[in-house]
Amino acid sequence: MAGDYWGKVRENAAISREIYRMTLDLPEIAAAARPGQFVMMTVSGDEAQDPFLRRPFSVSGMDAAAGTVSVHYRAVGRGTRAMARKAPGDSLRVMGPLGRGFWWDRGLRRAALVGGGVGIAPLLPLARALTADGIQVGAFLGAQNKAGLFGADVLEAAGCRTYAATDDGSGGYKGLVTELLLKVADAQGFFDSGAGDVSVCGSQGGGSVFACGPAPMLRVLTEICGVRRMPCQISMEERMACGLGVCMGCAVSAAGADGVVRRARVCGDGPVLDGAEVRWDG
Amino acid sequence: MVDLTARLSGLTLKNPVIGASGCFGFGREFNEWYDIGRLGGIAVKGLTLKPSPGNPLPRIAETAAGMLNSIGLQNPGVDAFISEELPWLRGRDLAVIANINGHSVKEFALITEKLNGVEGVHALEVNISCPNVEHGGMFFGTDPQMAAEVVRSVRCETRLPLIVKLTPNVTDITEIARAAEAEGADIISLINTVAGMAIDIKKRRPVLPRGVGGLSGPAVKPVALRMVWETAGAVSVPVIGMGGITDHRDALEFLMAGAAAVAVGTGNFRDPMTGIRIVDGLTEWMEEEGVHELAQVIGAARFCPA
Repeated sequence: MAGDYWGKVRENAAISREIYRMTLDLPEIAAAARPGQFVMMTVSGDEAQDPFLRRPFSVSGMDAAAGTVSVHYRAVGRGTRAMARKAPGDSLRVMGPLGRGFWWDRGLRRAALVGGGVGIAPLLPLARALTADGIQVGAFLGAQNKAGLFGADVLEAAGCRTYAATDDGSGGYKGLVTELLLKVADAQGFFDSGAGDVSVCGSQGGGSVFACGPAPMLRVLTEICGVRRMPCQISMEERMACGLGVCMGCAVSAAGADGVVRRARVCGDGPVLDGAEVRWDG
Repeated sequence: MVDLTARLSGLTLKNPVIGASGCFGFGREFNEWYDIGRLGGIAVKGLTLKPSPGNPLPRIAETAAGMLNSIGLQNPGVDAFISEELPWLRGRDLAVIANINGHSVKEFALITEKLNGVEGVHALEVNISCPNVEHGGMFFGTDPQMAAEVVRSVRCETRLPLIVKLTPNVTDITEIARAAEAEGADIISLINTVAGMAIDIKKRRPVLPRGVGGLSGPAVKPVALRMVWETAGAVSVPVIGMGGITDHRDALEFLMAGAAAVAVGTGNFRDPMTGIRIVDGLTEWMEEEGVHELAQVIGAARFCPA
């Protein structure tokens, strides 16, 4: 059950030219959050009315023992620029944990994690949880340039093989992260492990893709996985007003098990959805 | 003890706070945060005759102290509301207001027919003010003759208390309010969202696919308050005021302007506890001020006749 808490900022700093990481004292959320879940944060004070709406952020780290929760963000809009100005000791209102996170079962043996830009964030706690379950994890990080890449240290510490791609070649492979995934995964026979019932992630041939990033990247990934009959869970980014399933601002189209296309709320039914179910053209 | 009872012709609420249509779903999500039975009422998500998928994404653009939306009345349709949502709502102790939306005058009547005599529906709110749909919507609410025609067709079909929800996107809102009253509206609610726009300068395109969306949140409060003031002075039926209310002080401004009850919309998106905070805040305020019943506040700011 989600709650709404005051979180005191412990640390808030740029970790590259583009990416910030904020860590807050939020013991309840730290104890309850699952990989792939998110929080809604106010960026203006309790009485301030501008910016009015909260901002959704994937939880990029939770430490139940320390009682802390981290998020990664880019300071690109009015809200996130205001966030970047917060100092240790400041408090923000944080609601969470929200939404449905990633899921897997005992059948999962190998996982490919694919993150684009700030979408790398939810893959960090996921990698920790998967490797703790003895699952072999490869992580593929993509960004426009080197300054947009982050998390490789966390992923490697968790025991993941980590690969990077940038659009301009300033870090790792020059090109799209989805191209890099194909090269590496095909060479390693990763997709051979996915054949089976794609509707049950992880419980068949033992392989699965988990991804978060911009919609075009996710769309390409679901097409790649569809052709290769590989389960693919995607954490989607959409504008949302409430984060609670009420406003319908983030409703995408998804086909259920019965094949009927319905609206799925990224906040309430996701943010993690079965990639095979998402209908990209509405 | 203070008495928060709000008496609106034919519709009595135990307190004047209503979850506004489109911002409160069918109440389930907020009931996870508090007992929604502590509110006076809920105006459910706008219902259409058939299920509606709503508009393409993005549907939201944040603007100064508010937001633009272009949801486009995504809803499961009136039949699914009756079978799937109403049974749950019947178990909650608050007035259920069905917000109805027709693409034509006839559709309004057809939806009304379906809701007539259905247990657990306490009032209808005729939405002639949605700015985000192609057919109907705000079109009906910007012309007094059209508004009258819609209200007449619904009035003929039902004895339920009839609320007519007005759009602010008109030159003189009192003209529409009077037309609705003349055709038998029991209550007037206002305002729906203010037509607005935002442009993505990088893409050189409007942020919302339809270009125009509906502005809500604290940014619209002064406009809403002025229109409630004008409308309450122009009609003799009760008025439900809404537009940018986020706390009990905002609610009191609307009540003092002449609203008999208030609805809370976008405020719920920032803080899911907004509705109940306002109920508690009003109660405390009345106790502190020695105001025993709500009626003492309603219209308190209006000029006294000489």
